[in-house]
Amino acid sequence: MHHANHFYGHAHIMADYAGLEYPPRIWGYLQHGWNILDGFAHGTEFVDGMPLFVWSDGVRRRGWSMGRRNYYVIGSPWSYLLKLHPELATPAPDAAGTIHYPFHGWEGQHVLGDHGRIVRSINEHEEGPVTVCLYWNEYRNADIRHVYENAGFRVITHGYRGLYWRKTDENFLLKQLTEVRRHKRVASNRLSSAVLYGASVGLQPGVYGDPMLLQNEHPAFGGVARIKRMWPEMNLPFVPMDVAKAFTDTELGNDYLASPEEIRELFRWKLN
Amino acid sequence: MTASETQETLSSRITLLGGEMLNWSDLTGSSGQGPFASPLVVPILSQLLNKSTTALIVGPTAPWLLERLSDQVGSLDIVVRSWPDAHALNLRLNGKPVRIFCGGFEKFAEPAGSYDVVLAMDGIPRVFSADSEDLPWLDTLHRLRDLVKPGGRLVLGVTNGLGLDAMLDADSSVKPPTDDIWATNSQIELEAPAGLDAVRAALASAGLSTDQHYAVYPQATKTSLMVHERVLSGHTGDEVLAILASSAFAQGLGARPVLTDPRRMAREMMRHGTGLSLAPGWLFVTSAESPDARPPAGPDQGTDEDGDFGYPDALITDNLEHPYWAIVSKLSRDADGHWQRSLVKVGRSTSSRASGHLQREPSKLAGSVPEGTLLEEQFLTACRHDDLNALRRLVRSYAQWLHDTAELKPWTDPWSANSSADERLVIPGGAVFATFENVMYDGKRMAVLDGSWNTTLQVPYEIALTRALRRFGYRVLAGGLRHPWPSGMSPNRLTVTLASMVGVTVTPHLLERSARLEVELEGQQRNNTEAGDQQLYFELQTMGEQPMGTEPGQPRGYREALATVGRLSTELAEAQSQIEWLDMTVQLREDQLRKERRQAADIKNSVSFAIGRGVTAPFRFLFRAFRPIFRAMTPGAK
Repeated sequence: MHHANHFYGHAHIMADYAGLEYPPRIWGYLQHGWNILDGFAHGTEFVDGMPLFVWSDGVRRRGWSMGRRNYYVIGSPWSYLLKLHPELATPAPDAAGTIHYPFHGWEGQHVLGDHGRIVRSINEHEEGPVTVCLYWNEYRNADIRHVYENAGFRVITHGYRGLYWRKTDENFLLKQLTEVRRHKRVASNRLSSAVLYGASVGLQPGVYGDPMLLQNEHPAFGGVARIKRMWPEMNLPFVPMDVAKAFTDTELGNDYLASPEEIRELFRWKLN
Repeated sequence: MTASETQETLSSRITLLGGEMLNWSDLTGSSGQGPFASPLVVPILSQLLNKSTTALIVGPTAPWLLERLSDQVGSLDIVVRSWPDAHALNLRLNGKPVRIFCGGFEKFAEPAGSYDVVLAMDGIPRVFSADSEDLPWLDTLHRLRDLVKPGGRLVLGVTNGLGLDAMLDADSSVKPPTDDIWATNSQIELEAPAGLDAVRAALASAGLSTDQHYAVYPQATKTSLMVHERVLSGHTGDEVLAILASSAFAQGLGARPVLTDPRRMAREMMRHGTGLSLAPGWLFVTSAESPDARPPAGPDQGTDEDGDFGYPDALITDNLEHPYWAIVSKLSRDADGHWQRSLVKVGRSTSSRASGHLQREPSKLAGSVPEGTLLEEQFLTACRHDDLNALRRLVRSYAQWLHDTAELKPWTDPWSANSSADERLVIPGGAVFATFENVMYDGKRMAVLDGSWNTTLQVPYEIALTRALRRFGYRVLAGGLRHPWPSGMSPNRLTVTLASMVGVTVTPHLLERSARLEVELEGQQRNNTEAGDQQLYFELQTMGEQPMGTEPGQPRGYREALATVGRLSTELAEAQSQIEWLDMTVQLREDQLRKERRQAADIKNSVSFAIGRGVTAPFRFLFRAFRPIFRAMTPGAK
């Protein structure tokens, strides 16, 4: 229903999991990224009574305290993707080095910060080969790309997340998973979805460097400071693996995954 | 720098713990049920605090209470979960020895044994934020205990899951849940253990010995009555406690939908000696073990005239919603069961107050609590038993008593444009407040229970009597309580009926004047606006005329509603059978009539009748011809 449901090919993954070829509209709102508030971008216009499908229970509680109801915790599309691709359950044989995700903005909110400082912080913490994954709008900016390329990093993008159902790269997350499998470590300058994804499949996570600021970030989210207060143990250059596992299990809602039948039931989907 | 970070730097006394709730406020009550607020704990806590005490207070607590406590200690740390609350407190407590910690309590990392006194009057569940990991109640209790120095004190509020308030509330657990009831882990018990024994065991297992234990009413967080455990345990049927609990519940539950009349149930709770187990909450003053090392505790300033306060049998306040009029007093019961009341100074609670025509002198409240039973209760009992004779006796005794206070004076109607004075029986200002719910009667003597109220208005005896009777009428009818009259009774009608028992004729004018008096007194007490006064007057005038029990929302209690439905059904069935009986009687009469008409027709058609008509025809003709003359001869006829 809401166009954000289709970001990153989430709706396609869910359809695939539920046994459908192409995603019909989802009856409700699907959380599209790791979120520290009610599960959705600030200013999302909710239609009363529509179900809100979120990744984790924490999101549901915060949303409830803000007056939202009709939450269903179903876990993240990423976790469903892992179920769909058992062939990617293990690291690639040649897995090595670090994949680094500089914190991304999107078309409407750009991040403010110095990419040069990120390069320096990467060199400070990483030893093996480094792949830098930029979001699509930053990847298109040759200046930003060159900063990383000149540092000797491999620069890639997973694609375009889509907007208003158009140009969604259906294989966005699959590309990400494939790429992640080729590395041993995942890092970012901000605790974000990408770090969670990487850590969830056993990459050693690291968070360090200038967290950069999102343009016009809404204060209701509390900013990076709030994230650091909530999860100080995750905001370290080298996060212990057991800590990371517990954190990603909780935040990606791995204990909350629903069966294909239940997904069809919840999303009001029918098998063709 | 984001907005919150900017404010964080400005508010240097605030430490953000993590999991702070950014879009939430417990203090304003906009998001939940409001903070813990009660003046009754002030004299209790004052005894635990002095200028060298290091204290910690957790959970939502009213700012005025925090301000008062922060004046009595060496340092006060406050843990709140809401960021707007932390910021508001930071401004409010400017210049006080206070540190504010904001976030989920599980992230509060002060070392063990940091405090002389830890205060958690609001209890445990609300120290956690929506971001907190669920921690069992017992674990949190241990954590609180750890923060107390050996020999220090922990004051803990515990909500009773089976408290009378929870049992009476008709919709709290079934209406759409509010924002503060976010989902929690169903495997982890965040609430206190079930039942007083379990709570006591939990405290003991945490190494806490209970020094003082109070039962609190009518709500754990909005306390207007505290009764010491030693008074409640092993005791039955105390009339004074029943009255206190009854009025606390009446004021505290307000107009919320209930399962049954709260005043009645509160009264029965005390009468049955279950005041302790059914209390909405308990307040425990406990010591962390190692009693020899107990820090010297004592009040810096006297809370009482003699400075020796102790832990009284009961503490009571009123008008929590309208604190201007509030009085705080303590009660003690002697070996014979007689109660003594004395005033407690919390802020200006002992000073006299006046507004408009209304006055309150707290000093008049001090002294022995009158013996006997509440007059209203005696009336209700008589009503319940359909004992009209007892009702007559009670109304007569009351009217006589009121009449005896009156004296003949020139009186000017304050609500009339006509300012001419005439001689009327006027009662003293204090007697105006001697309504049924405020009079004790021991069968011989009547006495006012709360004599602190007064009015400067000159009130004639009939108006005061009418007001008292009408208040009782509302009480019976709005509560849906049993009474000997038909269910279509209105409060005004009931007033007329009761007044007729003492030979007073209640006119619409008298009812109107008693409504005006009610507005003057009630309106002033509730601090009403002009519009509020008009609304109250309108309600009294219109609702007074309407039969209650048929209005939406009346009566409030589900049980009383069922009783009303039952009574109405019975009366409907009775009315139906009356109609059937009338119908049958009418039918019988019609049959009879038809039979007689047939007889008449038979006679008319008979030969003998025809002969008779023929024989009498000339006389009839003559009579008709002379009729005008006869008429003229008859005086007055036309």
